[in-house]
Amino acid sequence: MEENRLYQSPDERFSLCIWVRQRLPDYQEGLLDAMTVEAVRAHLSVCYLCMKEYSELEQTVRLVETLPFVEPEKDHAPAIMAALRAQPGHSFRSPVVEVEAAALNALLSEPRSTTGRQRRLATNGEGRGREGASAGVWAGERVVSRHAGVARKPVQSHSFEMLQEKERRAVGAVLAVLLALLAASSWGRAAVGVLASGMAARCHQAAVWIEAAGFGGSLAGWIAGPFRLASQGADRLFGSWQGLEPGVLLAWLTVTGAACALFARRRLRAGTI
Amino acid sequence: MEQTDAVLVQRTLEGHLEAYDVLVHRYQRQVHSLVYRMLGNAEDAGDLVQETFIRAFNALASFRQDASFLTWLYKIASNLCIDHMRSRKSKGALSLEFELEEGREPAADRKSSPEDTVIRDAVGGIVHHAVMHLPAKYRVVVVMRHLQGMSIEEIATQLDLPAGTVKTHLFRAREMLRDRLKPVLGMEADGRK
Repeated sequence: MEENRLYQSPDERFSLCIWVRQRLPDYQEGLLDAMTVEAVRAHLSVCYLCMKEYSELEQTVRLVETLPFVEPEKDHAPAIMAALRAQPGHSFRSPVVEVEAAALNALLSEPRSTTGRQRRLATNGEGRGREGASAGVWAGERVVSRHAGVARKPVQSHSFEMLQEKERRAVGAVLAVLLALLAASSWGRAAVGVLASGMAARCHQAAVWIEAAGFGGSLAGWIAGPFRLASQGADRLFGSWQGLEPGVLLAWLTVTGAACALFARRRLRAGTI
Repeated sequence: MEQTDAVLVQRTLEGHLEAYDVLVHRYQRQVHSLVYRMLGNAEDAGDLVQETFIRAFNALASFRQDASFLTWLYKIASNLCIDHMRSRKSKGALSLEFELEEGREPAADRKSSPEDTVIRDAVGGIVHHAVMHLPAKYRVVVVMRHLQGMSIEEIATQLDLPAGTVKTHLFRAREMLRDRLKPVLGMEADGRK
């Protein structure tokens, strides 16, 4: 009887109960403004049925939130790590780091002594650039963005894939020219290196081409040596060869350098050297 | 001294796989619990836990270091669960949309594992069963809200739904749970007296 005095009629009380029950979920979540909260609280304090409903909702949420932790039947870590090791290019090293490492190795050593380490770095620089870091990042980004429904800004990794065509050419050319100039032990080999680097600048697989340039320059030097000796001997024997020697030598170096670079690139890509 | 998640993520990005192994050991229980609550099937849960960590590894470079790694894993896991529930149609089960449209209960708990049996033995088992038999779209929001502790806005963003829809789903889910848990609620009320 006491609670009925708060309402002028049963209809009014009923409509207030509906109004309160419609707001119970937001009341539970703390999403209502202060005035509405006060109104709901006042009604709950006098309406047994609405209070019972609210109490049950609260108990329901509490039961769900205190559900016991479900332990996995087995340790998933070994299977996960095995799968990760099996997938290609699981390393996150930046492709540029790989290319730089290859170039540095080439600079620090004689061009003709192309080591397995150099070749591996050069080829990995290409392979990981595509399959590993870059593709992994982009694929993962797509997965997360799609699932999360959030358009994230793409990660700006230092990948050749990210650069524009002109930038790729410029980076490839600069790296290859520097490599050729510093690594070649003579200006003749440097010229061949520069020629090969020009070709390198036109392609996207800078790591392979840089390696090829160094290898080609070195090989051309070896081939040009006997020719130079022969031409010098001929010059002594026949004075008329003197005027032809620089042009012939340059042409010879150009042809052999380009051929060697092409050959080396093909072998490098095939992984046979 | 235990390394933080940020340090382990950074070391993983530098190519140290053993750092990621530590992260997997640290969080596989939490991810498994979440996935199991969503799917109600221990076998599928195991597969999705592995898939979650593999996808997280492949997308690790996109992880923001200032965010919580566990929350990030939860996002990947819950989205995989949603995809998995949607793909049930192709495996001969009812699709998520069909279940939703028809108001039918999802095909959870089809296989009974020892894990399922143990859970059902306790009061928690009754609650678990009630959650598992919610329609999929309600179950997802209940798990995200009450087990992951996500806000309504976060759920709305993740599920690409309006916040109002999420609130409606949550409200209806609680109503359904309350009806199904009446006996347990009565026991709890009796216990208080």
